[in-house]
Amino acid sequence: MHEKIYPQLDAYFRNELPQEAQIAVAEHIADCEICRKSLEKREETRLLLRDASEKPLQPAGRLRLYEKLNEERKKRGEKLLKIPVKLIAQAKAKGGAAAGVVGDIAKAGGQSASRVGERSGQIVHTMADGTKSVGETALDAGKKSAHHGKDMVDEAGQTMLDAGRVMTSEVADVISDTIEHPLKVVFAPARLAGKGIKAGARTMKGSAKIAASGVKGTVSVVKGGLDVGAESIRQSGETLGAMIDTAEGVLDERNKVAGTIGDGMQKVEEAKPEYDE
Amino acid sequence: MPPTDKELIALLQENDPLGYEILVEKYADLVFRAAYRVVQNEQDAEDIMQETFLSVYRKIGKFRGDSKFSSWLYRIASNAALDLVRAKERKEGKDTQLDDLTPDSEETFELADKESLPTEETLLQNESLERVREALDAMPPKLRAAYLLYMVEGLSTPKVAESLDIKLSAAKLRIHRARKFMNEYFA
Repeated sequence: MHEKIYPQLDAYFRNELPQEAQIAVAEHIADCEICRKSLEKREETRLLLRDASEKPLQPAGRLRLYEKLNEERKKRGEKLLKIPVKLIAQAKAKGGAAAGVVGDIAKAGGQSASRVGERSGQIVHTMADGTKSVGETALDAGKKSAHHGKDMVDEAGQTMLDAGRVMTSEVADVISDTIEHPLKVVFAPARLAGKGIKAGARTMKGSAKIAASGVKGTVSVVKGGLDVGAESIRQSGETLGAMIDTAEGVLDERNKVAGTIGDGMQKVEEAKPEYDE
Repeated sequence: MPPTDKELIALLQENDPLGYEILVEKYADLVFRAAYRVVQNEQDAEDIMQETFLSVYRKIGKFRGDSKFSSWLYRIASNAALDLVRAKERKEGKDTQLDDLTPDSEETFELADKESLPTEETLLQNESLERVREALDAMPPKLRAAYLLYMVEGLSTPKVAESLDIKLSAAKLRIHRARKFMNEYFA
């Protein structure tokens, strides 16, 4: 039975079947859940398409239709239509409620705009503070780096000077000794070479000191950079926090305005007819 | 007890104001809906509704009752709405030859094969009201008018043809193209 009825559901839904077949399908549906569900789905789809494509005629629109017809009849000198009192009252109530709602929405929108403006001002302020703080940290780190740079140059100069001075003095001693003791001439090149090696070793030691000073300076520069980075991150975090607060605030304000609109729509929908005295 | 359409027509033809009062109460919603489906704009739909009632006022003497009174009203409203859309499109320089062409061979095949498109129940089951509204708004007005008569009012294709004053083959073609449009939109 189901196999026979199921293909007829569309025609049944459109009320296109002959009366007898229409009754047969209705009887089957009472017992068949699959067919019943299928019809329910069709009705849901129909309602979805209806809601997506229609708008109800408002009382004010109906009232204007009466007025238009009366305008035409008046031109021809014919008896005018009686406009239902209820319709006038409904149109008036909706109009009044709508005007009130427009006022409420404008007010809510204005308040929200003001609050959002205030929050945006706070972001700018936080960003300015952040920029200042990052700038100060960077300046401090820069000063430290310059200081270490100076130390490094001083150290290098001094080391070279010491090494040079010691080596010159030692070479002079060897030469003087050779003049005083000619036999030592044979050993002089070796002694000079030894002095040279020693001077080289001192220079190496000095270089190590320079390098140590350089590493110290580099560490300081890196530390300064990290300080600047950390400060930037902290300040960015604060700015981001302020922005998130503001975004949440904007969302909140939007919801408030949407709530006002929703309430307003409800008020318009439920507006009670107003009757003139 | 409200008067039948036959009694209403008699009152209108006698130019009895009561007839027009009944006409507005009974048919203003239907006419507004018919216009709104095509133009998708409240103000235009209201203008078309007023124009339709003025047409009835001017032409009721010529109504012979060959078709149902409601279908006659519907036809006046949807034709006025389509005229408005055409005028607007002409003004904007758009092509208005949308859907009354002869179906091509592929379409004739598809029209014969009803299973070629998934049903709306399957197609729209997870779609939001807003998305469906956007799809209908994007659909060419002539297709939309036929499609909604078929899908929402539940009219058969011959009734759709009668309501829109078009041939049965044109009604079938418009509904088919509208369904194809929806399938492509939600693909």
